[in-house]
Parts: sequence; C-alpha cells; structure tokens
Amino acid sequence: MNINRSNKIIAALPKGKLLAPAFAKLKIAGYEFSDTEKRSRKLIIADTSKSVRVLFVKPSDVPIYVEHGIADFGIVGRDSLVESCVDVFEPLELDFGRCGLAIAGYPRDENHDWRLRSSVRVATKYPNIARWYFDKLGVQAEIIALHGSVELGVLAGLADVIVDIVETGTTLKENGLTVFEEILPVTAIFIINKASHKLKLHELDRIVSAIKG
Amino acid sequence: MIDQTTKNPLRLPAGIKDFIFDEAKEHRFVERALIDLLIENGYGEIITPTFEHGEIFEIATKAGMIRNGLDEKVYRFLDRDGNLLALRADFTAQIARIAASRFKGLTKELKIFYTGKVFRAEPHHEGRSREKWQVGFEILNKSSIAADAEAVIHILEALDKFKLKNVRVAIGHIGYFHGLIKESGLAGDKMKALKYLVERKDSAGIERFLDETAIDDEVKNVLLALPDLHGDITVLQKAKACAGHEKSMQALLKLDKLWDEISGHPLSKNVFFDLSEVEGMGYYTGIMIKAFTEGVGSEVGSGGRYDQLTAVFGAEMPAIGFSFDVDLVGKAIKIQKEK
Repeated sequence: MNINRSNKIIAALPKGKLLAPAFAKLKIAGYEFSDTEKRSRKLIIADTSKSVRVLFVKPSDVPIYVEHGIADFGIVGRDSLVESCVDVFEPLELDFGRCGLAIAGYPRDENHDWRLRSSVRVATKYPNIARWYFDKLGVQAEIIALHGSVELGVLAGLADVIVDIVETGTTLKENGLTVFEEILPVTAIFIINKASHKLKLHELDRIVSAIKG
Repeated sequence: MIDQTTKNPLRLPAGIKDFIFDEAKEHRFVERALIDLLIENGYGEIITPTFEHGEIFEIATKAGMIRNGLDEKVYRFLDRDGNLLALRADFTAQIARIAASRFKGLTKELKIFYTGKVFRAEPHHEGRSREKWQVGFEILNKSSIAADAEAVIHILEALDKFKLKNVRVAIGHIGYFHGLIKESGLAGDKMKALKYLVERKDSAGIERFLDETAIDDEVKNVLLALPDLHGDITVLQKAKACAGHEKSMQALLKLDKLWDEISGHPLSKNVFFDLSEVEGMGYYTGIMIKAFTEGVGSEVGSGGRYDQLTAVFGAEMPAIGFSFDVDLVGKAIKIQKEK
C-alpha cells in the first residue's frame, strides 16, 4: 500500500525544532492545521481544507520518504539531506534552522597537522559527510558512527574529534571542546520528489512560490 | 532469535530479487506488451551478451561533454585468463558497439529493440535495485525531428496501453544547457559542479555558485532562471527570450519543431517540457526524455538522442533511444489498480 495515490499533496515534516517553523511556511502557502491535530499523537494529519496530508517523521527520515515518492515534498535540514545522499529536487532554501556542521575537538588539537597522523578517529552522527570531508582532505579517518552525544566520544577517549551540528557552541564549551572549522552551513530546505515535480507540478510550483514570497 | 554467528548461504546480495509466479507473470505481461508494440512498429530484436570486455562501458562514457556516474557503477571482474570483463551496465552502449562494428557504412534507418537486465552497483541504501529489467528501443541512422517524434509517440502509446493514469513525459534538450555552458566559459570540475546543482534544481546553490564565479551577467541570469524553465510549450518562448548562445537557440527550435510534429496526437497532452532536466547518460546530445506516472517516485523510463556515441566505437550514426523499467511500470500498474 502506498498512501500517495491521489491528487492530494503529501508532505513529510520533521519532528522537533523545525516543525513549528515548517507549519508556519505551510500556512503561508494556504494550508492551516488545527492545534488539536498538531498536538495529537497521530502520525498522519490533514489540513483543515483536507487538501494536504502531513506525515510526522524523524528529521533524518524526511529525505527517504520524499525520494521514494511517499511524500511529494518535505522540509528538512541540509545536514540530514546531504547525509542521506538521496536523489531529490531542492528548489528552495528556507530562512530557518540555521546552524553549521563542524569539526570540533580539544583546543590543543586545533592546530594539529592532520596530514601527519596515520589516522584520525572521528565520532559522528553523520558518517557519510565525515567520510567525504576527510577523503577530500586526503586524511585517513576512522569514522565511528554514534547515535547520541558525540562529544562524549572525545571526552571518553573513543575518538579524537567529532563532526556534529553546532548552534551556540555552549555544550562544546562546557565540556572543554572547541570548533576547528565549519564544514557545511545548514538551513532548512524544501525538497520535492522527482516524479511529483512532474505529476503535481502546478500545486508544487504554487507552494514554492508562495513560500518564496 | 537472531543468530549472529552464521550467515545464511541462501541469502541474496543487496539490491537483487527473485520474482516468483504472480510477480513473474506481471513482469512478463509488461515485457510482452512493450515488445508487441515495438514489433508492430517495425523494430527488430538484438540480444546482447550479459558480459563484455571491461572497456566497453568506459569508452561509452567518453562520448559525452560531461561524464555521468555510469562508469563507477559497472560490475567488473576477471576471467580465468586474467582479462577484465564487465557485466552489462547499459544496453545502448552495447547496441552502439554492435552498430559500429556490424552496421558500419550502412546508411539506412535501423530500428532495434532489446529486453533484459542491466547491472549497476547502485549506492547501498534503502533498497535500490542493482539489477534492472529494461525493454528499450533505438532508432539509428536517423537524425531528424521525425525520429524524435516517433520515439516520443511510442513512449506515450506504450504507457497508454497499460491504462496508466496521470502520465507525464518530460522532455528537455541537453543542447540548451551545453550552449549556456559554452557561453559561460566554464569547464572541468566547475562545469560538473554547476550541472549537479541544476540537476537538483538547487536555486540557492546556483546563486551561490554564480556569486563566486566570474561569468557574463546575461548567462548568469539565464542560469538563475533555469530551474523554473518547465511547463507546457509556452516555456520554450520564455526560454527563447534569454537564449544567448546559438547552440541553446538551436535546441529550443528543435523542441519547437518536435512539438509541431507531436501536438496533433491525442496523447500529446501528457508531454511536458523541462529545460533544467539535464540528468541522464553523459552521451546524450539532443532531446532527453523521462516518463513518469502516479504511484512511482521516480521515472519509469528514460532516454534521449545520442548522435556521437557510435562514433567513439568507430562509425558515425545519429541515433535516439529509450528504455522502460519493467519493474517500475509493473509497480505503477499494480498500485493504480489497488486504488
């Protein structure tokens, strides 16, 4: 069964911080959602005019729902989009969710010449991005994929550095770590499935230009 | 209980499937319908080998202005004598190899069809098939718009035969983009980077790229507008207003003529133009076609004109071809029936 079989639009929105501003963008495009629906534990809700359905998904799963065409469009951070390596259109960068994906570690390692190490151990929730970054540097890296608090990886001696999202830098500072370099600027992005772009062109074009303003 | 100590020797590699009874039947139904349509239209079959010498697919990638990733997806292996061999990764490259060696010097039109599987090492994530069953056709030795129109009409009629709802055949022309690239003076990695941004319709990315690149303002403006150059025939007029390079203009005129040829057909309402559709085989030189239908999140078939591909194998023959993904056409039929 594939829920995306009608002329209605299906959106994949990320649970968490990006959700409220994502709903605000849909409102600009003319889609309103009742607060009771938004606060419910339902995984799929419809807007008040029943012309769009929203799937609530984990941020890193948004690109996958869109690539497979289960959702026609999605809103997701660039970090999750790049990490997922999916094949989608990304016609619009949004003005929220700004942060950076950075490499960080102990201040004493800041000026360390990476190229002279036989290998650097990297703790990250973004193994693909970390792999590309160190490959590009030409530095052999041992990528250790973790699911939570990657800083702990360095503090506990599992890794030399981390590749992670940095917003304010407070967590890093409190743990005696520092940012070496930003490797990917991040904002929220509006992504579209490649087939939906052709099959539901007018509605998707309308949404994109409404949000673009 | 999951037993982590042993691997089941009966398991399949990722991206590979068995098709049993009903599924096999559904696939054969799609295959037969497509083959019947092609035979009715005068196409003759070529059965190509499952593996060839390793260089074949590498040579094919040399035909393009910009290489695509096919070369990296070829399964290569050594035979017992130490020769490097490759599994079939692309039918068109094989047909071009056959045409250049068997039909060299022949000037009459050749209409060829094929059916079988291509093997591509697709990235190992969320269930992409590494073995794709394709039925496709090629029209060789015909450079005219009539051949392009014939191809488009076969595609429309084939999808109509399956009574698929909401069909869109998206047509672009790589010459339009190549003209812009020539005008911009971009080359090498920069050109590749820009093409990737256009493929993803990444407007913000294109803007940032152009801010950092010293190129003519007029070309910049067209490149910025490119992701939105899609829609019905009127989009060509919009594009003409900003087509600086002669090559881009020629591409638009060709699309215009193509529309003249096909617009009388009742199914032409399903045709759609997209000038930012630049993703496809690197060897494409003219129109590029992708077919979509409800229920499948990616194209159910793709193709294009490749006038220089046979030349890299030693004989110049203008050509156009298209292949249907049997698995995805079958999936669309099934999903639309469930409704």
